[in-house]
This record gives sequence, C-alpha cells and structure tokens, in this order.
Amino acid sequence: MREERPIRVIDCDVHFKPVAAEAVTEHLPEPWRSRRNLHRALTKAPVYNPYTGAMRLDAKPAEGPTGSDPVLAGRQLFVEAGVDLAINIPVGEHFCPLLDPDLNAAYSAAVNEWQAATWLGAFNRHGRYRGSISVAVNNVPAAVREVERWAGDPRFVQVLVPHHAGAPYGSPQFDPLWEAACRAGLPVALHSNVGAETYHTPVGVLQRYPEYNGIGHPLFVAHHLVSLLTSGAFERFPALRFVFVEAGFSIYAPLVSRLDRNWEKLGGEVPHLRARPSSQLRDHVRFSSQPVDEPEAFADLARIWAWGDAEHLLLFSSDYPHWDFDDPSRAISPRFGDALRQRVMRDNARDLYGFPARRPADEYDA
Amino acid sequence: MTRYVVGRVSELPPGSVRIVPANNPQGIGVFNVRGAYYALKNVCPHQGGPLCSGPITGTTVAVQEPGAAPSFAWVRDGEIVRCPWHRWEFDITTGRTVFTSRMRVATYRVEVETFRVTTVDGLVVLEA
Amino acid sequence: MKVDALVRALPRSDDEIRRRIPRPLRDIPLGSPFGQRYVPPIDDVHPRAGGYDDPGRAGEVLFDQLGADLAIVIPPNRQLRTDRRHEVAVMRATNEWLAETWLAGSRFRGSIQLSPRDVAASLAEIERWSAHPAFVQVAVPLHVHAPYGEQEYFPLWEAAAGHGLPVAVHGDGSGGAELTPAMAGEPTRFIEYHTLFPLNAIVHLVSVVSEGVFDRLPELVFVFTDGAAGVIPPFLWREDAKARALKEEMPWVRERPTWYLRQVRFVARRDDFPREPEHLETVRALAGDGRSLLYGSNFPMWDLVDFASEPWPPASAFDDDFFGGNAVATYPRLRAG
Repeated sequence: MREERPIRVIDCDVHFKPVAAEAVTEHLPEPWRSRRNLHRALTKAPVYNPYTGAMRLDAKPAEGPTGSDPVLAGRQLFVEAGVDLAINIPVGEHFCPLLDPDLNAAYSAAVNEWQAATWLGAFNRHGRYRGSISVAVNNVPAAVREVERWAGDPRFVQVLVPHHAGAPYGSPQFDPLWEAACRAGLPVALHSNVGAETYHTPVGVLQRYPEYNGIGHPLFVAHHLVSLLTSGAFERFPALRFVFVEAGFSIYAPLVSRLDRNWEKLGGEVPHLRARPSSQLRDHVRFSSQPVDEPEAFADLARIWAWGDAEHLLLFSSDYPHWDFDDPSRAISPRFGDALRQRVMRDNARDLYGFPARRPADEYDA
Repeated sequence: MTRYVVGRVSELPPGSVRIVPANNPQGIGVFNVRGAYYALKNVCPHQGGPLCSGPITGTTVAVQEPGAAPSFAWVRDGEIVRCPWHRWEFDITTGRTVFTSRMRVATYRVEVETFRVTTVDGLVVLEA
Repeated sequence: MKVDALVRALPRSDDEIRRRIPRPLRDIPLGSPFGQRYVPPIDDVHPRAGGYDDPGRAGEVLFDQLGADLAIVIPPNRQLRTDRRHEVAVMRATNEWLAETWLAGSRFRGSIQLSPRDVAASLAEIERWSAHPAFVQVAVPLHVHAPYGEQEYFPLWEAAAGHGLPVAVHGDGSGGAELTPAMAGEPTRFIEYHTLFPLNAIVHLVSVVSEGVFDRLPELVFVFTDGAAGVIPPFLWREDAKARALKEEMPWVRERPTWYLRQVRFVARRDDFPREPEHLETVRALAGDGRSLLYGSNFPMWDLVDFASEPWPPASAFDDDFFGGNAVATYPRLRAG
C-alpha cells in the first residue's frame, strides 16, 4: 500500500511546452505534417514587447525552452512552491489557434496526443499533472468529436477554448460543444491564446503591453460571461460549468450586478432567462486567481472578494512558468482567513474537478 | 555579524554578481557596479523571488519635448537589477525600487535589505 | 444646489439640425438620435419624460418636478459618420442649434460637441464657443477608432483644459461608422450591448493615463457619462501592477494608474449602483471616494431615475456632493451662465 499525502494546494493554471515542435507535429497526420510554414503559423511573433518571452527567468532549464523540462518543473512546482496537483493549459507558442478549421482541428488533436504522451504520460508517473482537451472553436463538429475522444480519460479534466472565437460564447453555434462537454462531465476552461485575434479593442489599438495585457483579456471574458448569461446557455445546459482563467476576478461582481439591473428593466428581451443572472454564477462559473490584484488598500480587495463570493468561486492558480507567476504561499493573503484560503487553495478545485483528498507520496515529498 | 569571502577581486569584475549562501536560504547577491561593491538580500520583497539572479540592466526616464508625445532615454546602465519574476526594478546601490513611492503598494516594502562589502588583500568580503 | 449632470438634449426633428448644414451634405441622413443597431426592447424614452424635445417642457420636468437647479445637456452626435466633412458639419450645426434653443434659457448648461477625428475643426469649434457662458464642457463620442491617449488628440485636451472645460466622453447610440462595440464579437442583444459598452471607457482611461496626458495636463478632467462608475475602477488595479512591473515602457507616468482617478469624474444614475448598501459603498470607495461621482438623470431615456419618484436609499454615496456639490467643483463655469 503506497503511502499517501493530503492534497493542500491545487494549481489550476500551468503551461508546459514541448522540447521541440516535432514533439507535437509528429502526432499530426498528413497532409498537415508536411505543410510548409506550419511552424511559423504556430509561433506567432508577438506584436507587443514580449518581455523575456513572458517567462520567469529562473525557470529556464539548461536545455530546451522554459516549461519543457519535467525535472526542473517538478522541483520548482512541487518542492519550492509546494503545489500538489497542477492542471496544464496548452496555450502560446506551439499551441496557437489556426485559421484553417480543418488544420486547427487536426492540430488540436495532435496537442492532446502530445499531452497524453508526455506531461500526462511519461512525465507523470507521480500522477500530479492533469491536462486540458484543446479544441478548435472554429470547427465545432470536430471539437465535439475531440471532446468525445478523450471523455473517458481521467487525466483530462476540462475542455479548453481560447478567448477569441469570432463570436461570444453564448452564441448558438457553440451549443453542441457545451453539450458535449456536459455529456463528458467536463468543465470548459477559457484561457487567452495568441494568434487568431487582432489587437483591436472597441475603440482602437492600445500601444503597449502593460496597457493591453492589463485590460484586453478581461474585456474578452467580460463579453463571453455576459453573453453566456444572457443567452441562457446555463439554463439550456444545467451541467455546464465555465472556468475563466487568468482573466482577473475583481471586475466581475460589479459587472454582473450591472447585468442584474439591466435584466430588471430589459428582461422582456430575454424571456428564456428564468433566473436572475447573478444567481447563475455559483452553479456555473469559476475564476482562477492569478494575478491576484494588489490595490492600495487590502480592505478594498476584501470587499470586492466578498461581493464576488471568492470563497466559492475562486480557484488558486500560479501561471507557472510565466513572469507574473503567483507564489502559492504568498498570493492569497492570510488576512482573508483560513476558511477562504482553504477553499481557494484546494476545495473549490476539488469540488469542480472531482479531485480526491489525498495523493500517493512520491519523490518530491520530503 | 559574520564575514564571508565572496571570492577574489578578479573573480567579480564590474557588471557581475555572485550569490553567497548566507543569511537566508536564497542567500545574498554581491554586485560589482563599476568597481564599487554592493550586497542585496536575494529575496524580492514582492513575492520572494530570487532578485539577485535577475538581469543587471538600466532603466528609462521620461523625455518631454514640447508639443510631442513623451519619449524615453535609457539611463543608469548596470546599476539596476530587475527581479526575474515580476520585473520590479531595484537600484543596486541603495536596495530601493526604482518606481516612485506613489506607485508602491502599502502592503509591500519597496526596499531590500543591504549589507556591507569590503575588499581585503585582493578578496571581496561580505559582512552579514 | 442640485445639478443634473446628464440630460440628452434632443431636437424636435432632424430638420432642426439639417437645415443648419450646407448642401449637399444636408441631404445625408442623420440616423436616429437613439441609435439604430442595438435597439432596446422597450420605449426609448421614459414615461415621465413627456415633451422631452422642447426645452421649456423638459425644464418643467427637470426643474419643477424632479427638483434640479441646473442641468448639463449633451446633444446627440449621431455616431461617427462615414463622411468626415459631414461629421464636422453635424458637429457645427448641433452646437449652433443647442446654443439657440436649450441654452437660451437660464438653467441649462451645454457641451461643445467635438469631432475628434478632425482636430483642426474641433479646435476651431472650441474657440468659437468657449466664450459662450452656458457651455461648461466639451463632449466627445465614446466610440471612436483610436483611444483618447493618442498624441493626435492632445491639442484638443490642451485647449479644453486651458479654457476650464472638462471633457465628457459619452456613448451615443449606434449604427454609424463605429467599430464593434464589444470585445469578443458582435453583441446579439440590447441587454448584452448595454451591459458591456460602458467598459469601453477603460480603454480610453488606460490610454490617457499611459500616454502621460494627465501628467502633462494636470488641470484636465475627463467625465465618463455612461455607467463607468460601477464597473471600471477594478480594471485599474491590474494596471497598477503592470505599471510597477513594466514601467520602463512608460517612465513618463509618474504615479500609479489609480492615482489619476482624481482627474476623472463619473456621471452615475441610480441603476449604475448595486442595490445592496455594502456593495454600493464599495462602488463609491473605488470610484475615487466622494469627489468623483456626479448625479445625472439621463433624461429622457428609458433608464432615467430621478431624485424624487423612485426613492434613493439612504447611503453615504447619495449625499449633497453627489447631487450637486461635485458638479459645482468640477465645472468652473457652471454657475456663471
């Protein structure tokens, strides 16, 4: 009987890479594997200043790109940061959404094969990693098939969609994908990716990374959230759960409050909505914590977190190995109290993903 | 107060840094900035990152021409260390963040502990 | 003194504007002042707002029934027009019409409509009307093609600040040459559009702060008229963190982004606030404490909520500063007209 350890810290957002592009493309069938310029399409050059490739400088292994070495990742995540379980979300270089719907579907499948073979396979003897089913949102029938393909595999804990899909996610063309996720018993995670989107906001292009990175992704997620709520997606699919990753948390309670007020006056436009929008959040929506806001006064953060029910809606994430990584021991202030910290660091993710309370001890345990 | 031999003067040329295992698990970074030595605790006051292993660099200051959008000049090259995590810039010579006091967050100190460094008989010596 | 900081001054008909536009531009349709692309499922105009297109009858409602002492009017700019000359002509005609009608009375104050895509024409318009005692601010559309920190706009802010004119950024219907007003694609319903469009103010605010506009013009004040108070401020916390981390790209921004809220005002209607008292206090605190919130009815629109008819809950947010004192402090010209 193997020794066990309690699970205390679940990290809902880490980003692993292949050592080289071939580790993913070897899973691509022809004609795509030999497609010219595939690598360039998959490694979209950043438009904004990339700041060390958006990586923590001390997470670079001796060989290979940051995020490609399981030995270094294991030490930094499990030993130094004290993480017990980590969920991989494949976005960024090597994982950019592609404009061709067929190629995008084939490549998503290859990404999932690569995850299964490496970070969920050969690198996962300790069983601490979980993965996300990458799908092509510009090819919903293929995305549905991809969800069904991995549905029974317990290593994949969610369906992954990017922030840009050409239309907000409450739009009816995505319904079959949510239905498939529900049939598979899987939440849907939304995480920003690079590639298919432009940099236009509704009022033009912002000049610099600190401007766009600060508000761009939250503006996308704000739209998807309002779209899902007003379209009645959560009423059509009562089992549907969405996780908005790395999109902030503090902005959503005021926004959904505004939606509630509008619903009181404009509800005639959405007769299919039987429930007040804010009442749907607890059953259907979660947010990851990183980056935790740092307002001038802790009391302001505490009030917004109380308003947004962080205690039940927030999932700890580190965003390892990115530069704005949140250290698990520091990110959630002890001033929030033990009850909130425990739910955010562990219990909310356990409830959402069905994780156990304990895991086998392994070489990373003292 | 303990004295640590960091190394020979020739082993720590201008523009370089050496991490000394002293004072805390992440140690102390000893820098040579144009021939003068400085030592900073290798723990960023923000979230505890390994501050002294970050890039030794410069920073920017604003340049305002009348009638134009502001621009910048690159200054203090070699005098700044930037935390490899969240990129906070620290003045190596003082241990203070480069961003002004009004950009700080009340909950975080904006300076890192500094230590004394001397040279004795061709050796760099840290007191910590 | 009670000040209503947002009244939409609507002409009786398009003819009132068009006859002030020279031919052949006069023949181009203006589009509905209520917007044409995202259309509410209810009446555009509130039942209490009878006679809204007549300043005399509107004044009876606003001043006699609803209890305001002064009201600041913004006319519709009819969205962005495709023809730049037409857009400038509409701007000029609208300001003329406003001065001759609503501002001829004693208790209305006005906004100098600008067309920010034509800086020269807009500067001329500021010069044309800045001496008119009833104009207290300039007004620019929320939905434009480049955010307001961009250098090409700077002369407008410099002129406005120089004349003591705050800059009101107002959402103004839909159906012109604007970009898609929400981030992830076309909104499919009015409730979706109306919940989200106030967020676009954060793009302008981040742009203005990050380009150092507030540092260069310490007297400049931006006024966001549509729903921004409740939803915008937490976005700035992310900008504070980014500014600390990435300041080398913006060394001219001297303070953290949230510090610049002292140069921002938010016009707020009651439905911009949550119902629960504790959350209402949070909104007030995050928007810059007591100084930055200005009551505005949004007369005559469907989301009008007035002083008297629907009770405002007792709350420190709804104090004399909110209902008038902050407007008096914000608009140096308010009383002079």
